[in-house]
Amino acid sequence: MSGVTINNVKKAYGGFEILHGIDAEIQDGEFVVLVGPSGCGKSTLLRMIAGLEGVTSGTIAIGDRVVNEVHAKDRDIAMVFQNYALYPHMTVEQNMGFSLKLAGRKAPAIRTSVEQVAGFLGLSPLLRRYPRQLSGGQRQRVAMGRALVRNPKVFLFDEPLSNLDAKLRVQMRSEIKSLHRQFPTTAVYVTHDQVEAMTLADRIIVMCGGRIEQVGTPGELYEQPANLFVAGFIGSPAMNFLPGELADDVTSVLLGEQRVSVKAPGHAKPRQRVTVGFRPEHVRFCDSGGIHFKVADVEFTGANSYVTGHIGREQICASIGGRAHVKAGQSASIAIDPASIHLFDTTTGKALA
Amino acid sequence: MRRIFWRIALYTSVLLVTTIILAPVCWMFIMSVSSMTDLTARPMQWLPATMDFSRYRMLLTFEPNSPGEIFLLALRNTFLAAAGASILSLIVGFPAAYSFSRLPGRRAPLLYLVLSTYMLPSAALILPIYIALSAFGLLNTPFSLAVVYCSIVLPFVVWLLTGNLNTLPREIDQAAAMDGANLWQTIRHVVLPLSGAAIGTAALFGLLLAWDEFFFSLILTNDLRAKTLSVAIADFAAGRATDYPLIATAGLLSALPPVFIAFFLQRSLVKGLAAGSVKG
Repeated sequence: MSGVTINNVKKAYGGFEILHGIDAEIQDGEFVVLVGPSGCGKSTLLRMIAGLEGVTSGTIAIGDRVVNEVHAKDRDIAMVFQNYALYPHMTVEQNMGFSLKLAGRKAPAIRTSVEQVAGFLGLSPLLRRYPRQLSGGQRQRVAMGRALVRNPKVFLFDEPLSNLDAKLRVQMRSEIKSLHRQFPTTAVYVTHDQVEAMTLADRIIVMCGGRIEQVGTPGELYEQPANLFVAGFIGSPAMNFLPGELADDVTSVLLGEQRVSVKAPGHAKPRQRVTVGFRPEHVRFCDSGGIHFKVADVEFTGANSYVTGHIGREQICASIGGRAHVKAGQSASIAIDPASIHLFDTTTGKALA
Repeated sequence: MRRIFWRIALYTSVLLVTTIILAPVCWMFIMSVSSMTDLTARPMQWLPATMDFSRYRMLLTFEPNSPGEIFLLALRNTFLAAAGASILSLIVGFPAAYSFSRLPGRRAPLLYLVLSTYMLPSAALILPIYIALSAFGLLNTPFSLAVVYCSIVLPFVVWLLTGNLNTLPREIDQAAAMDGANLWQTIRHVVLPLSGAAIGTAALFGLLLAWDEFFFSLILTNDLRAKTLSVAIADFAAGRATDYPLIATAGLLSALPPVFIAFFLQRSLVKGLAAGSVKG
């Protein structure tokens, strides 16, 4: 087991730079999720750790060893691919034992290791089957088994659940989590799904446009997003943003016609243009005296209702537990807890904190 | 009513195509069992008076200074040249195709260059090839013929295999690398077993391309030691008194091995040509 240290890593294809200097420290045994919209460079970074892509500049170290020039096969890492990449002509047992066979282990020893991991993953009855005879979830499990058998220094996951249906995805998600609890090997996991990131990660690295936007625990990212991008990316439904202007005493902001008190930090300037962010789940409906809100649509999902509507001309969303007691077209009054309001500098996008 | 009309039209066209393809073969068979007088009689006699299979025996019996000797030696030479070309092309072509398909770099123009050699007329190549072979003392052997046939078969093999390897997900190679396989192990344990159908197809097409070749063989061989079937059959026609039934018999017999091989490799052939159209 060992950590991964990424030091000012850049990646360019031809003259086109897609990673602009990434720094990250992944601790030994930590489960880190790289998350971001497609094209942000998260998969490229993962493939660079794997050794499947070259490093243009900077260094990547696994444990104490800089691995820039080390071939993928000698890095002692295992990877689970999005499309599983099982060997179609090998049985489940051969798929899982392939790495041990290459390492020169004897057949009985390979069988013991494979059977142990298979038992753990519930694959024992499937060992003689070929990948084409398995369901998507089973293939996924074989791909994980193939990685587990190796007992590698680092696990890499490249969007491993995105080919599964929604129900299976949730189930596999918790299996991966409990697996990591039992085998606390360093893991780097790439996904574009922020829910997956929030539920799995010890720490999340949010990326956008080839840069790291913020690194933190799921709680930190949710509660203290460093900028507008992270604030909008983490959380579902996404955070609401409204343009506003701080009052002269910087203790309140004008939202629609309503003045809402906020806790601005000391360095905030009077009359500063700000973006006010608040999460749908922190909106509550009140009888009167709140912000005027015109309901446009109500979506009932079972446990929650998402109420979309407008404050002035800005569209926002509110998430209410259970059924909402408002209807489309109705006017309502809402309140937002000042403690859960986030303020961002409109020009830089950075959080005022 | 319309459906019946279309069905009749469909079967008629199938029948027509089959007839067009099979008619020459049938006529060749009829010729091969006819007597010379039947074939030269006027008015034309479509079916022979008696079936005469003697030429089949003649061609398949090895006797010195007989058409049998010419035919059987030519059969051997053709097989050596065609199989040799096919195997050599695979040995060289598979790594080339793997490199085109998998390794980074700007090789794409080279791939088109490979194809362009395929388009060069043989007549343009024959003189330099002849001079080179003659300098090495390699004229008139089936093995040098095999090497020369590679110039026809190899581009084809590289193209076919590159296309097939491109349909194989790269992640499978990468997974092998993560599992600790080096390039050779990746090819040996993962890529080769998954390319079986494509390799079978390439081998078969290579064999057929070389089997039918006439021009190179005509120029580069001059006697029984290396002469191939296509040239030997032409030689049968060049005598003073042309024995048409003998030529027909030789043509029919020389077509049998490829048909036989194609029949047995059919499954792999279809799989190879259709690779990628079916989700693995």
